[in-house]
Amino acid sequence: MLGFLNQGELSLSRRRREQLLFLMDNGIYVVTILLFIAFIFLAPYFFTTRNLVNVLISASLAGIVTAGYTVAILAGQIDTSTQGVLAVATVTTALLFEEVGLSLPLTVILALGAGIAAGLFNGVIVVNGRIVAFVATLATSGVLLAISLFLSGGQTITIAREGLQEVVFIRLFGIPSSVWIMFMCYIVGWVMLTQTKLGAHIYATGADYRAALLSGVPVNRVIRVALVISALTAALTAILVTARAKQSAMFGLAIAGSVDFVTALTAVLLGGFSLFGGVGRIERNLVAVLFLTILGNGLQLMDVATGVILIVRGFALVFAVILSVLRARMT
Amino acid sequence: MSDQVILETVDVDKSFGAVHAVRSVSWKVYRGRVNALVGDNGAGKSTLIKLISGALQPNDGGFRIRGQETRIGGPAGAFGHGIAAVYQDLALVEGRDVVMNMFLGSELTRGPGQIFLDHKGMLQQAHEVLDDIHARIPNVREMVRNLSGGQRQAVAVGRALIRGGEIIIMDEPTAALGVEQTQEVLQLIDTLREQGKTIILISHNIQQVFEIADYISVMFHGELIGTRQRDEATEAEVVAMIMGRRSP
Amino acid sequence: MASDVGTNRVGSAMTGQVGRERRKRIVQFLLDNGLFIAFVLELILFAVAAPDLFIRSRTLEAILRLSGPAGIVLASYTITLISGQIDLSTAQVGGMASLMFAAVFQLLAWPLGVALALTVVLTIAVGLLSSYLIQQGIPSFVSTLAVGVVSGGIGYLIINLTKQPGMIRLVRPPLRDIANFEVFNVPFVIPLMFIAYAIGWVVLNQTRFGAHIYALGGNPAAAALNGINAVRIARIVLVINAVITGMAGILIAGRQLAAQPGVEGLGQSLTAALFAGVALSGGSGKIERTLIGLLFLSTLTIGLGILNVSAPVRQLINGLAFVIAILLDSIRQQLATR
Ligand SMILES: Nc1ncnc2c1ncn2[C@@H]1O[C@H](COP(=O)(O)OP(=O)(O)OP(=O)(O)O)[C@@H](O)[C@H]1O
Ligand SMILES: [Mg+2]
Repeated sequence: MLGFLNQGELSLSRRRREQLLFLMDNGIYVVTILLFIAFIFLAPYFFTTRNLVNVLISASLAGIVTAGYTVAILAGQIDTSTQGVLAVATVTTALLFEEVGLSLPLTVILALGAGIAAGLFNGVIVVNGRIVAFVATLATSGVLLAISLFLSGGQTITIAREGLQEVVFIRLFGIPSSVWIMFMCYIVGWVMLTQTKLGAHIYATGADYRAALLSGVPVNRVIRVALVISALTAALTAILVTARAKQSAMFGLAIAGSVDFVTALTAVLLGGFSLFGGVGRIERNLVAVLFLTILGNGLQLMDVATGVILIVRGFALVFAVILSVLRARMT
Repeated sequence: MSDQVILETVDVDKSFGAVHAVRSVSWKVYRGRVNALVGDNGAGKSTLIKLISGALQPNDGGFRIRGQETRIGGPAGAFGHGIAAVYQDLALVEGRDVVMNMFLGSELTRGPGQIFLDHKGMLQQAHEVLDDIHARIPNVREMVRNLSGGQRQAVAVGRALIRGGEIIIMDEPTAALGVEQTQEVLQLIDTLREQGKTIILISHNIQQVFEIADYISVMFHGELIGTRQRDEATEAEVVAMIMGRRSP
Repeated sequence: MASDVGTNRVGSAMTGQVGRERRKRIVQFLLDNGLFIAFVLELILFAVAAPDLFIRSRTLEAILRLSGPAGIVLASYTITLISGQIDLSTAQVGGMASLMFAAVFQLLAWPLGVALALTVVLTIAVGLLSSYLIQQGIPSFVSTLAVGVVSGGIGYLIINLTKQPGMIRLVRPPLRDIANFEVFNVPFVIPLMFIAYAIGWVVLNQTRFGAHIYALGGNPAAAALNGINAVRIARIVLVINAVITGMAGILIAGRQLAAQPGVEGLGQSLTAALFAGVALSGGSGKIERTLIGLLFLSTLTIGLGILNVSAPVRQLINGLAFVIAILLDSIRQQLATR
């Protein structure tokens, strides 16, 4: 359905297939290291503590979205509502903390709640409306963006009150808090996916929806949960981005190096996940996220035009998708 | 045997990765006859006929059609040789009407440069063909989605005839049908034979095969292990062959 | 399917069946004609809510003007959808094309024909890229998503290279006058839109190519088995769609006197088409109906503007319209396969 053509199996000799798969599985590590070394020489200020911490924070933010996004992809749900969820959560955070004056924990809980609500909304449209996720979430994203616009009146909300931004810059053993949070997300995600029944159900639903349904997996609940998790991590990211910038943020495809579902999708695909659910290893996504962040950061430091960075982003996605399809056709 | 061979596969071979689906098959198909192909699930029947209809390309071997060595380039090439397949899933487009399905891929055109569809011509010809095979389809503008199993089969066969099909391949045409509709399809096959068409029929139903076929060929694990004339064979013998027992 | 009607059901179950049949027919009728009803209701509602502002020839003209470029795109977008491909790069491709055109025509001050030719070449390249990816087995929505990001990037790059502040002003005649260019007192984009639709209708309903487009969208495997070249069709459809989107992008830029990376007003194609009953999964739909879908949405935009509804609320209503459109498609799909 939906625009498939030519999905024949690729015939390769076994040895070549194994070589190619090895390359696809491990190439990302090599490429990331090479890129890092290249930027040390090419990009001024790249190899400074200040910038590396920056890269680490950016990567952790993109990494958090990607963690939840991975879960959705594994369940076979391509979530395109990340933009909308981010927008609602950032506005909620800024409004509650700055204008309403709620305490930090309460703000965080309510902003995460907004994310959960958005995820549930997605779930209703996907499951009850029986609509493919990527279209359904494309639609809900529009609604969520409009809601965020409505809440903010289209204005950036600046946060003057102290106590929010500091959270991002807290360091534990010299490592910024957002990085810790990201690691937490991945550990929780890893445990959930590999050690729990829910995880098994998520894999099963993504790998073969019908088979899972027929063998009694509560597929609808699994899809709902996966979409909520995806939205939840997006909301968490939005809170951190808002805190870091001290204002409600603008998220958009057009902004280079921003956190969005294109980055998440690219990372997930580079991580070896199938676009159609069911396979993949969550830890490889971390490297992919790091790769994409370094790429964006390095190019920016080299003063490369925004347009070029965007084009590179687009081709990174193209490349990732081609890899993913190639992998699917080989196995 | 006095019957004439119209099509012959010569050491045709096909693998899907590790699966060797068709192993060096040399098979004769007789003109104006119903040539049945039987065998267990996965024996390679569908693969063999897809090679003949151009839907798949062999890894090795070739074809002799009407005595001539030929390549079958693709579905279009097969049409050119008068071979038309009615696939197991019928290859119908559910959301289009009977006429457009019958002319799928070989639409009639008219006007300058033949750019416009000849709706009237297609309608008329569809009626003619369906009448010829005694198909009961009240409204040829009905979407295929709303047709019964037997009617669908008729549409797919009608398409094969419109293609100028001399050799008509039918892959398990009655598999999904009830008693009455099965009878309809068998009738259809009979009609086709009377009109001088060559039929290749895949079926799992041995009784049915004995009822309608002139020749019965058996495949086992990708190999063609024998062909029998209907009148000379017994059901028990054919069943034994299906289980892989090679006959002398 | 049909055979289970005859099995041993008791009488009450039979009447239940009949009731369900009738309900199904009513739902089907509403799905087929609901758009017309909704459109009429919409007109009445706005007419009642703001009689003196809404019932004016200027309002009608505004609705048609707004529909013009979007309608030209929608004609080819509908064909793309029917062929089973979904194009998510419309806004970026339109923006990229308008920037390309503006850079050559406005900033370099080259002749109109050259600027148009260069833009066409660029959009053809973009369409070819999308279709190449689809040919590799990548679903169209991801292919065009990626191509959309690339096109957006090219648009930004043009802005970067020309050192413009986020957009390129487009005021050189005769383009400046294009938006106001009239034939027999009607803005010329309106007849242009109708021509696009007429061509689209003929292609879909009266040519082999159109028959193949329907077949490909309805059942790609069947199309291939019957000798239809899916790759070629997808390529032609996507390239034409990209080129037409680019031209519409220029028209919109002309109307706004500025070219920007993302074009607003083209994003509603999907909603309009789904409202009109074009299947999201391809293979069915009538092109002439999408025009009503578009007029419905344009009227909504203009009407809400007249009623002074704030921008976020308008956007919310548009977002909900999209949600409703995909729900309608889903219901239609379920009804068709039941
Ligand atoms: N496209 C394909 N890719 C990989 N393997 C295939 C493909 N088509 C067929 N096979 C394999 O080739 C073998 C022969 O399949 P084929 O469909 O020809 O059998 P068949 O005799 O028609 O069986 P059935 O009676 O079940 O229809 C099977 O093992 C099948 O799994
Ligand atoms: Mg078979």
